[in-house]
Amino acid sequence: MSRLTGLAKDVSVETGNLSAFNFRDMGGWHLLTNDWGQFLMMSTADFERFMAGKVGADDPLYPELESRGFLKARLDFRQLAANTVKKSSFQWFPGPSLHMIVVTLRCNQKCQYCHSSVVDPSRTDTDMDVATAKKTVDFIFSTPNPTICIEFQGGEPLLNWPVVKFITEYAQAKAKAGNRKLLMALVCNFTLMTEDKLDFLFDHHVSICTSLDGPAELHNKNRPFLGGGEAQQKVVYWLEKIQERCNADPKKKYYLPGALMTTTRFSMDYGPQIVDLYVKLGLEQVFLRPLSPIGYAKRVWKDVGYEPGEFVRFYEDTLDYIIDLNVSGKSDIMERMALILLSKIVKGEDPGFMDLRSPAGAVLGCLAYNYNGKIFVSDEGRMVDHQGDPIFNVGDVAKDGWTSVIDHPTTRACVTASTLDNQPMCQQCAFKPYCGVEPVFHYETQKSVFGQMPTSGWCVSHMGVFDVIFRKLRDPRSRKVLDKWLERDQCRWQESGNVPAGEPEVVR
Amino acid sequence: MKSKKKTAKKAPKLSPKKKPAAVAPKISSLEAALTLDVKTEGLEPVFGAAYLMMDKAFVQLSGDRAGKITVILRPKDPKATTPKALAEEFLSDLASQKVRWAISRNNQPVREFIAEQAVLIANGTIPPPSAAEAAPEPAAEELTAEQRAEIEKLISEVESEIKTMNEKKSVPDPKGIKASWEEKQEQENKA
Repeated sequence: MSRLTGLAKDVSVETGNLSAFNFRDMGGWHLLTNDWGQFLMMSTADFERFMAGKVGADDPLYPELESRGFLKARLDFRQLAANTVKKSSFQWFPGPSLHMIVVTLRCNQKCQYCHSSVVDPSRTDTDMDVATAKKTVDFIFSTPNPTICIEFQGGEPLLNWPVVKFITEYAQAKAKAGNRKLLMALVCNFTLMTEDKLDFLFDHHVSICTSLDGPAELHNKNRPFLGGGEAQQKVVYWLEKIQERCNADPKKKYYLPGALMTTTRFSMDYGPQIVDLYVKLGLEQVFLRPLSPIGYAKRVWKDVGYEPGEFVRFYEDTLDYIIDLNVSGKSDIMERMALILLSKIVKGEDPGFMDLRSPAGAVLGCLAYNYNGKIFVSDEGRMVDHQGDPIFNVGDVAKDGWTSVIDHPTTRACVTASTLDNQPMCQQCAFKPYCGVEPVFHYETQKSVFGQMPTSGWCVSHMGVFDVIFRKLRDPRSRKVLDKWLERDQCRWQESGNVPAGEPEVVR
Repeated sequence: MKSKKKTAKKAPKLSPKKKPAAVAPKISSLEAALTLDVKTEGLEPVFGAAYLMMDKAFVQLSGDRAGKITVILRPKDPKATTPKALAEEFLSDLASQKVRWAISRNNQPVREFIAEQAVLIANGTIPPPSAAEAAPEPAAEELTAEQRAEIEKLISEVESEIKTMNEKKSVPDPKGIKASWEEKQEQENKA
């Protein structure tokens, strides 16, 4: 049987009465989902009765099938349409909300898997100048989304600190003048952080995020300094320092720093230790992210990469450890990928995560701006350009307007390729309402923006993670923990009034 | 908005007993070949099942898309699977594909209609359903005395909470910290 799974050999099916849905054999039970974001988990025996048209109005299954849009004769069109609006809230806002600016390609680290295609700290020719920075911000404000989130990326953005400051102040002035909602975020490695810079970031409400791969021996192996040295200690020092300042001032509570980890082959043996470190540092979430064979990581894949199935096993084992910590009361740490998927599955909301959308975030949800003003469909698209292939370049802030970017043939190709109804396997997959495909990933790994899902590592790892999450949802012990996470996440956004559902996930 | 009446064709019952058997696969040590009647199996299910095999097999389709199609399956890794196993898997996937495509075809007008409604709700042309419409509460008569008491207790708790919140609102707020974005905009416009 294919990864999509299918029907058992002798199942009788009455297709005339079935509403539109996809199904998946989860081993002993079946998952049903529909385009409107509703799902049902049922025993295989019940599934087979349903498929055979043997669930009548007096059947205990009937009310749930009816309320979730699985009974063709009992569809509440307007309610299902409203669910669609909520689930795909990103579709109803014109233009991208997330704008990633690469203020420099320079970096003082030489990460094993570097996604960002960085250069040596001496290469100041790869710094964005103020004139380009101004044009970039002007371009960003010409895009039509009422909410703008600017995220500083690199290289190491703190190596071009004056331009970070300029963009922050200029964008905030423009937002004020134009009544636009503006969120700002900095993704940096913390090694060049100072008290003065921190003061500026706090004063200007710039949220801060860093990379922390785990314990020192793992982090320093994955992310060494150029010329040697221990990077992890610096990250931990600044994380603690920033948390201390945030916790001392209630106004800064919502600017608690975030940290991201990237899973390499070396991380596979460190799941619990990574989580323990995050718990020890008081971080609210850990984000178990797979490594993508894009940029420099593609060149060293045989050293740091792994099979998608290996990642899924690592993810499940580590998630189990996190759930155990929650159940035992030792910690209430949450896992970010689970939270993103749960928002989609359980709450029927879009959490603003660009990678898992249909169509993908490319241009419609996000844009990346290189130091020289070139515009790309995403940061990954920029990295492909750095390797010598400009295919994902859709404009230049010096000469192009928003209309030419949205009309660009590459934009159209990415949107078409990442619309799941255009993908032969995705359109029948039970995870379709919550999933997405990434054109740049597939271009890099399969030489096609459409990709080929049966052989796609993206598909194998995401399908695996969805399987894990649905299994947890069916397990009462885990479900209790996951429901608590959703409740806490909702409260957090409501209290902060900062980033409600549907707005960009700035922590990438 | 004009609503178009769309009706789907009555779909047949798909049962393994009534399912016409595919031509028996020809198996060799290298590959499996299956010749399928497109009218019986459907073109999309054949393409769909072939596509799903691509992680395990090299797949070649040839023939007439209006008549008979021959599917040749050759293992990508002969150590991991055999031509016979591939043929069995293909036929199993083909049966599921027929169901998936039938469901999809039968429901296309409904899916299109709901997608249209979603666009109309999103752009404000029609209102979203109210909470009352979406999930009707059971009538009071259906509630037990215990449930009614519980609800009354909840209502009184919420009322008391609202009262406390309203009392807090009267606290002086000279800098307008508690004002909503809209209230602030209004104040700024007036100024």
